Amino acid sequence: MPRYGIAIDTTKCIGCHACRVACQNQNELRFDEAFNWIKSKDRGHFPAYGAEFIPVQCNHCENAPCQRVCPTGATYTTPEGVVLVNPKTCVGCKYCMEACPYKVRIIKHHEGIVEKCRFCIEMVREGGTPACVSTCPTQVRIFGDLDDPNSEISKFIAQHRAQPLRPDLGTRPKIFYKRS
Amino acid sequence: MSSNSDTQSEKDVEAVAASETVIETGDAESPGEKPTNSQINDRRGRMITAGLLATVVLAVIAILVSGIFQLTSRWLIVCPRDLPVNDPAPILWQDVLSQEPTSAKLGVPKMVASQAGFKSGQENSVPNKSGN
Amino acid sequence: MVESAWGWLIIAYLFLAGAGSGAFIAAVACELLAPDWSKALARAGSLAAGPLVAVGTACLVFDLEAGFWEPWRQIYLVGNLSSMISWGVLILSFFIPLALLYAAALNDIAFIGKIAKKYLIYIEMIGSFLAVATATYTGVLIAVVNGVPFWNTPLMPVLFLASAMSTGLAVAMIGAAIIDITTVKTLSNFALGHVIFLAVEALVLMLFVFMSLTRSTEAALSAGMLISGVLSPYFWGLVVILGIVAPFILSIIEYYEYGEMPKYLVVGADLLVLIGGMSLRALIIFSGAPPQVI
Repeated sequence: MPRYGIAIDTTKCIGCHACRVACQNQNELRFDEAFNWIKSKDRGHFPAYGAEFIPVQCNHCENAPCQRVCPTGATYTTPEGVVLVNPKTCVGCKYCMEACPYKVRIIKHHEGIVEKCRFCIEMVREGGTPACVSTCPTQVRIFGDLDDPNSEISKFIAQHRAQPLRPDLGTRPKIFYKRS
Repeated sequence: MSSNSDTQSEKDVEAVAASETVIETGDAESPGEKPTNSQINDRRGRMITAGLLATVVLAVIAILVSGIFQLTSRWLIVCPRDLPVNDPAPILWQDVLSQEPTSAKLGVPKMVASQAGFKSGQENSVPNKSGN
Repeated sequence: MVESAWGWLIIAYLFLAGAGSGAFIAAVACELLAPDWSKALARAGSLAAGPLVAVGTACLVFDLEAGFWEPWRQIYLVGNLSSMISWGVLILSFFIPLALLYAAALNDIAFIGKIAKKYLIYIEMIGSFLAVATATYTGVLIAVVNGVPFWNTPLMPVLFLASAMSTGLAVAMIGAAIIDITTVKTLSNFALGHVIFLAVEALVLMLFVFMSLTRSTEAALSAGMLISGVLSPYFWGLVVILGIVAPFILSIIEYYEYGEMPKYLVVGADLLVLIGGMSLRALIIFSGAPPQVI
């Protein structure tokens, strides 16, 4: 069974938001709902000024706090390591939204359930890649099987020593970033 | 302290419940004193009032505090007023709101292009949408 | 201030459940320890506990979105015992009927009250345990969120329990004043209880804020919001001065001037404690800043 993850190279991200828009399109979200946020971090002052764009989305953590606190068990992890929300059992208590340290979950008031990035699991199971990965114009993202040492993503992570966001929080996220 | 408990025990005796079971107070009740219906109803009314009023008081306090927070937060959070001068947001928003959708060709939208001046310096040089 | 997924309905629930469970404990303590001159307070506490926690739970249900519009989903709520909400559902489903039963027993309401009276001591023992569970599980629910460093401390359930005790005593005293207005004089005995509970609450709150300042950057940020930042008027004004200091002073005066304080000041002190309790819950929810991830 593959264990899916994404690797992101922020040195190539230009902050175009194409991944965010593609995700909104794919998941039929409204313009003010997004599973994928592009955060920017500015460093220094002129003449040594730099800006970095960091796309943040659900990390599909292996030790997901959202799954631990969900009272109905609506949040679950598939065998491929993808954390999903069962729309039929979610009651909209929003505990998972408070528990997520990355704050990547949104509540859809018109449906009354909480949703987040799903790694486009339907497309992936058919052999495709998530919308954000295939859309990116600068090929910032790599999607693949973390357990396969020959996959592009494993090589990228090993070669560039890519780190996830806040590994000290103990959530074991599966999105790895090359930031310099 | 003793005078208080005396007055209280008298009140207790008068307000004893209609049911035959004896309430476990430390005071002796005169047997054969049957409380009247009005006293039972009064006591029952007071109990219901106590329960209801406690809930109502707390609900009022909850609403009061939430009201205080929401009304006063307006003064605490300052909205930024230093937006850039050529902020295209209002114009673009009008574009979004307008009924007939303007044809979205590549390049600068017509409304913004007519407002902004471009570096080439010529007044009417809106970038050519299709041939360039 | 931070954008929180949890709003005023959850805050109202935290307040009502805390006050209700505290009122239950106050009632049991009066019933067992000081039966003579505190009958009214025991009865008032028992009458307030059940309805308050029930109304709070109703607030919780209203806050559910899909679970409100499709209520049958709520049976799934006990599906995950690693989640404190599932524990809460279990605790509340036993506590609310027991609290109502206790009210019936102490006040001789209907047939069931007479039957329950025989088992009063058992109701009191189990009920007190469930009341403490209700008051503390809400704190644990917030404390296990290690995504919010300000909340992630074992002091949180302690703070919630301390606040529940003082607000519960305040509710019970207001109810006692309604049931039997002459007990306003004997309520002065409970001024000492108020003094103790408020002192404990102040101590725990101080510890909580101090420990937050060194626990992590985000916790310090949240604590800073409370002490000197955007939430500081509410913290100092509503929680500290109105909610702790003023009732503390009034209670000390009440204790020394036994029976001589005007009624409105006695009840007023209780109302101030309640305002402080509600504001404290609101501030805890609103100051929960997430960790900086980038």
